[in-house]
Amino acid sequence: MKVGPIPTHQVEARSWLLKLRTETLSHQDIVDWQAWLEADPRNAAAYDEAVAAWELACQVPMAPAAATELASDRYDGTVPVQQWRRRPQKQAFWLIATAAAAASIVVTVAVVKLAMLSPDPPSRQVASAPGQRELVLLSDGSKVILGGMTMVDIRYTKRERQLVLGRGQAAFKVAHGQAQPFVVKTQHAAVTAIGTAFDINLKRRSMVLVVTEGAVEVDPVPETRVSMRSASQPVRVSAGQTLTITPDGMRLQSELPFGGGWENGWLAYRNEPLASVVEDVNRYLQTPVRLQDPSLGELTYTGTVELSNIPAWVDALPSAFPVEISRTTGGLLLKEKSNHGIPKRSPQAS
Amino acid sequence: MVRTFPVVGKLAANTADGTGPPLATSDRIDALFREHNDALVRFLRSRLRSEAEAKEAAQEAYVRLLQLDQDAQPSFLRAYLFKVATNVATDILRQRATRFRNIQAIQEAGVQDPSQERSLSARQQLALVGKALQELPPRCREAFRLSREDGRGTAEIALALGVSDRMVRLYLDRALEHVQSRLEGSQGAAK
Repeated sequence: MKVGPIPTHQVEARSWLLKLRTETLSHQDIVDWQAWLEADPRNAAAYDEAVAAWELACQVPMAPAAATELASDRYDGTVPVQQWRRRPQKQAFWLIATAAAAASIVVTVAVVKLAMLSPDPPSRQVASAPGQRELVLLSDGSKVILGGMTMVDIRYTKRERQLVLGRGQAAFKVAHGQAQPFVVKTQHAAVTAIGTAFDINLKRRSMVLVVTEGAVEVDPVPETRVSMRSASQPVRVSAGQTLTITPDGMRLQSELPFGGGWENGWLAYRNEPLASVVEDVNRYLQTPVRLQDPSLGELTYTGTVELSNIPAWVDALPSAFPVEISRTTGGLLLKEKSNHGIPKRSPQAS
Repeated sequence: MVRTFPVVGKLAANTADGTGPPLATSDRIDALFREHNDALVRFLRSRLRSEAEAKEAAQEAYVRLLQLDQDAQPSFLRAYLFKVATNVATDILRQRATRFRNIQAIQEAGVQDPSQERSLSARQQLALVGKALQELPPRCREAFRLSREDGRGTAEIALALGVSDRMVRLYLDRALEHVQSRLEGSQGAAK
């Protein structure tokens, strides 16, 4: 890391921005601040940069911190966060704490070489365990990143590069310049890539396809088509679009899911039913979270989930929702908080 | 509740050239705004969440100042301008606190840019910032969240987290510093 001179304008700009936010601001403060702004054009530029960063930071959803992670925090602000994160002892402390508390996320790399020309080669299966993410490198240079509890069958033939997503979530980065189309099949549809990066999240009843580069063609399976009573031609989904297929039909939206994506280590949601969030989260837990009452699954969640720290997220749920957690042999059971009104039938006394 | 702001045509129409008869209070207010509007919007951006919101608040402050039905002195008006603007910002924050709980605000804040290219880069920036916030140590992150979401003062946050007021101010500074360094890091890499 290069250590340059401390950018004073930036430091002062931040301190002014935070000062301006205080309740006890005096008129003299404002006069001083304006004098500072006018003293040097770099001051004004630094201030505008700080404000722009502040505004961006206001747009990202944040979940409340869990009591456990607050209690174990040793950061005292003496060094910048970036520097603090690099300190080996502290890092080790966190790794141990995380490993003890959470299902650790192991990223393994599998290299799958497939002979394209042999007639009907056998398919190869790659699968990941709960809490494990796996990078699969394919012989043509394409990459597949598997989320937790995910299974993909891979078969490259003369005619096509065929992958079957049996369960879970996977991101696909497709290599260009191959004659054979790259096709991902699920129980809902066949997705054909056109020079593309995309992600498929296969849920219990639905499939969510997100295209981040290029485009894909989606050919729904006959059952889906029948339920939609739609024409038989494939649907084109381009970069920046999301296609959701449910038993009731398909929905194409011109937006990407909020946040940076699960490959980067965290999930982000906006008004997502809790049931769907829990389904994702369970791929990263050794002992799954279950909802005692399906009505709990209809609560909506907006915020983020850090994959390396899911137990802390689960612990924080009672502070965000009228729920309590009980630890059973089958996993974590999320129950309606007693004496709290989710207006549904009351839980049976036990 | 939907806030509507009247169009402030006077802001551009009247000029205080100092040659005419003594200026009425409303004209002084116009002049005041022409002189201080940039600073006012800058100030309000620190308290609110977007430039658009800050501009609306500045207009609202102007309207409230016009309602001062007295022959106010310029020096008084200048001091009063930022005070009124602070109150407007506080009102907006309060309304938003309610909205925020209904989770509308996040959707409104969503990037809606007609240009695909630009919206992707805005999205990438948001992703970077989100990652930076995730990387913050828990108490630092929580201090930042409480400050931005509920507009809570540092003393109140200090009480909630069981740390000193000074520490909260340090956390907020470190949080913003980290967000900025992540944003800058990406710009450097893109060049």
